[in-house]
Amino acid sequence: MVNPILLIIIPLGTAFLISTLASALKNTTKYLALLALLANVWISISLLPEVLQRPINVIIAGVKPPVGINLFVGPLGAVFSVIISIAGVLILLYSFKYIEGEQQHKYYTLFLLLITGSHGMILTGDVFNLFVFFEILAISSYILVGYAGDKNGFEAAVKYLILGSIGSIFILVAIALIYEGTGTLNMADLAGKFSTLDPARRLMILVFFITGMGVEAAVFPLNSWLPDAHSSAPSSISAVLSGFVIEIALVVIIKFVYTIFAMTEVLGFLAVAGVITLLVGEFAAFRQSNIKRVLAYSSIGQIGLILFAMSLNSKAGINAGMMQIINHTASKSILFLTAGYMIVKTGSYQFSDYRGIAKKMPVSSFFFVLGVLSLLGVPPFFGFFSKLNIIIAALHAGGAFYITMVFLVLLGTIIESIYFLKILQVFYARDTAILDVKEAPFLPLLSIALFSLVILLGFLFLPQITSYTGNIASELVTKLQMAQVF
Amino acid sequence: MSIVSNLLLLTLLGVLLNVIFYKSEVVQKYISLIIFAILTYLSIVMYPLVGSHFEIPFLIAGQHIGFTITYLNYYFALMITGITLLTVIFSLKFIKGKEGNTHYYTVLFLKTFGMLGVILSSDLLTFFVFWEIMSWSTFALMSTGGEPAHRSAFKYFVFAVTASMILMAGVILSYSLFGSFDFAVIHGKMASLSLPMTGFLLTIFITSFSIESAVFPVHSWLPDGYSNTFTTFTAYLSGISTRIGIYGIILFLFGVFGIQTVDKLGIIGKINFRYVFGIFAALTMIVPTFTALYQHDAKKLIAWHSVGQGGYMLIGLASGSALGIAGGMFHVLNHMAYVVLIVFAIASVEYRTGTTNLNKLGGLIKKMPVSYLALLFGIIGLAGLPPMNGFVSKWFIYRALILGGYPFLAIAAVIGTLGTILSVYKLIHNMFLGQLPERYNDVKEVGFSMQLPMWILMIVVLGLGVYPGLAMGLIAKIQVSLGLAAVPYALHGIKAASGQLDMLVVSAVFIGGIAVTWIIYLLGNRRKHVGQYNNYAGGNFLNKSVAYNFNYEFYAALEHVIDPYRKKIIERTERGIASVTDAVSEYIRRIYTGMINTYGIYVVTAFVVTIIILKELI
Repeated sequence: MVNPILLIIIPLGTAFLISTLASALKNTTKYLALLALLANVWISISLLPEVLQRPINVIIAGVKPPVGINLFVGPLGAVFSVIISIAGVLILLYSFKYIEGEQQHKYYTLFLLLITGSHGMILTGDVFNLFVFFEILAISSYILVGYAGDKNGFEAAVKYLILGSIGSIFILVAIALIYEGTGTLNMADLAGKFSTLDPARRLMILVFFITGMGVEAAVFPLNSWLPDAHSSAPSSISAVLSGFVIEIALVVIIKFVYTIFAMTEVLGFLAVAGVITLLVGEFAAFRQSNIKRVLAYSSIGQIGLILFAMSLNSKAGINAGMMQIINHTASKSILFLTAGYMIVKTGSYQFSDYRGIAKKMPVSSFFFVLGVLSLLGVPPFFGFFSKLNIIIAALHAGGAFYITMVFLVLLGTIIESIYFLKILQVFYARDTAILDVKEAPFLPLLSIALFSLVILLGFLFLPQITSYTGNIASELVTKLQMAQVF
Repeated sequence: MSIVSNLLLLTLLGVLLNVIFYKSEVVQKYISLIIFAILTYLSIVMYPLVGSHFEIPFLIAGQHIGFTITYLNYYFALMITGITLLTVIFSLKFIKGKEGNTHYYTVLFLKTFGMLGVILSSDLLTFFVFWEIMSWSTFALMSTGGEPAHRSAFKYFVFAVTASMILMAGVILSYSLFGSFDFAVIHGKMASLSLPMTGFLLTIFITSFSIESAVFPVHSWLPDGYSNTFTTFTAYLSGISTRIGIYGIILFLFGVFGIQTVDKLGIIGKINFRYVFGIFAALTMIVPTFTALYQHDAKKLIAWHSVGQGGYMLIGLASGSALGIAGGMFHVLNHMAYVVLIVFAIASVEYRTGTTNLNKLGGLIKKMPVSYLALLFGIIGLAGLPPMNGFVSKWFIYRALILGGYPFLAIAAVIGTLGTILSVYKLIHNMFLGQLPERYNDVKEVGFSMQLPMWILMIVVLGLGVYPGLAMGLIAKIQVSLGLAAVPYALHGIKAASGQLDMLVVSAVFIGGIAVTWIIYLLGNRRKHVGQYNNYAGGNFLNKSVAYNFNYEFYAALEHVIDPYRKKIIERTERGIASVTDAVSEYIRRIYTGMINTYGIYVVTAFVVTIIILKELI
């Protein structure tokens, strides 16, 4: 068995290695980073079949939980690790050409730290470690947002920093309340003791935790940092942030509500919050003229949809939500990455300046279209199946309430289709004012092409994918992690 | 390999080959010609397989992709492949060297793929998947042709995506109600559903299909969308694309829900679901037809008519009687034949003169006699006069409305026909009659490859007019397969107890009437042939310098009567919806002020609100 802790140690260690050897290695640091992430891909994939048989519990430093620290790799952790490492490696590949300059080792160090934090948040079995990994993730992403060093990026990073810090303070308060009340920080141990707390304390812990994590998960109205941060960051970082960072925070909320707090009665509230987030995101994107802001607001909309699906209190809902996460990771990465080179080549963020760009950058435009189609849920792309499953799950929940919610979700899709089509029409306009624009280089296009394989061929592997996501659903609903005996 | 997968895979192969050979127009056109010929052949020989079911071993949400061949979809498959083949033959020359033709055949194949999938599917999910493909490819079809086409295609897209989402809601609502996507299973369980829910579900489906088949008042995307693209696409779209919406309506009214269930959906007294639907159909006949009158672009005029003629099909279906439903279904075929014929004639004129503007044309009859004849046949069909096919189906519909006790709807149908006759007269007059502008002196008739489809369609239009039994056989079988009464038919008419129609007699009388008039004309012997400038008007001699073109702004006065209402009601509503959406998004956009202090307030507010709400929940 491969030890899952390597998923955290390898990127962390490589990050230190890169920063210490930066002067010696110069611009070859990126290959080191690539190597580390490829190792992660291999480890996470090789863990998958084992985990589906039986979850893995890793005890660190020989001290058994609940006193010691442990990692818990269930289906959720394993699948998410695969998503993180594959998306990570592809985006890193894209960065090879996209990020240039003398200081690039800093970028790769932070990138690896971000991956470390992501794996850690999803795998840890300890509430305080969750906070630590959250901070690693958050701080590295604050800096990466401002990596370009321009005014917009800096401003966005500061906003992100301030709001993110409020969020982490809230989480810290929640953790303090937990520790004070139950005397334990181990998740499995906590799950047993949480129900013994008095309702007022449970309420406060829940609210602090949800609002704190909700900032990072971009739930309305806590997501005000997102449009600035996602649109001002380098495009590769936008792809990371939209592709899996906000999803991780969301999944952590969902995991806590289902299993550790076991307070499924609040799911109705989260479902409504999801639909509101969806509508706010889509409507706000409707009149944007900056392409990266459109994509950022669309991420808000998508995260709302995912939150809605996962809050349906059914296996079908979580299953569909996980599929939507996979779809969103792939298609939004494609969109941000293609948009990245369009911005570089034309020097403009306004998509109205891209009239007829499809003639000059045919491959990028083609992938952009694929990403849009899958994001909108057009058959036969992967997004269609996830959206279909979401709506089926919602209608199975039954009642006029959920039928109304479904109609609102579909309304959101209409709005989303309209603003994306506006962009596509500009891309494919016959007259063009763009003269000296060239296609993006090969390596970034390769990375985008690999992402698009997921949405193109996803439907061929639906049974396999749903078997993994279905396992996640049963993990959360049956509280698998909490059944661990020490 | 079943015949269905052959059909679909072959169409996909067409898409693929056209993408690969996008640089060579010659390769593209011959590939397309061959593949569409095979497709037409395959859909003809599909007949013995009616009733068989095919599955593609691939699961969506635990559901196989299933197809069946029924009489209904056999009828539509024939129309789709046949008319596409004719369009391709006509296009061989027509699109040569036109800007933006590199993806012409690709989108045609993609669209055919979507349509064939929609009509052959045997369950809701397959239906929806292909429906989406069809909508997107319709959008692609409409987008060919420069900036105005982009705008009107965008408008279509907004309607189409709304229709798709409504359809998706219906699809999944029925899945959660019946536990299955399969049409047959749903039909079997329909009786167990409560009436209000049945009405709600049917309204969802019919609304979605009404948008696609451009029913008043959601028709406004069609005229611009159809007329801004290539003229051949105008033919193709008007002829068959819109009618897939009608297919959906037929399938759901009679196949999935069943006429017995639909008839139970009463509202007050005689006013039931069908009646309300009939009123919308009547409005669809009248308003667009009279709007067509004052159009001065031939393509736009026909596009408005294809909205209006959809109303006839729907009102026939809404009548609920065997005769009316047969009329509605027959009119789909008839309309396809004559409207494509008309647009081909217009396209021929455009090919030679470069314009479809009715104010600029005229007098082409001697230069382009075949196109003239094609247009003449087509407009006689469109106006619903004997001996052409349009007469037969319209006769069914009038008769069904009168016998069914819907006098107002029947009057509406007659008013619609009046408008049609007025406007088609304008069409033929402004293009072929009157004075020939001097710049068209060396215009020639179009070549064989463009004439051939017109000749074929002329034969169809006349043939179905004189021998309606050729199509009625299949339509009767469709009716029986949908659990409806069939109309007793003969080769040249129908012989129902409620009324008989013998098209041989009608045609004989019609031709006899013309012959008698001709004889009287000859006997009068007061003829004198004069040149087009040997003439006078208003006391002035006409010569080349003062050519008097009275084609100009034909029926312009009507514009002042009708346009204000159309603009007030429909355009204002649409603009209203658009500006409300804009305003809402503007307000929501302003939530994100960019100021960190407001963002802090949001977090605190969210925190407090969450406490207040969760306190109630726990």
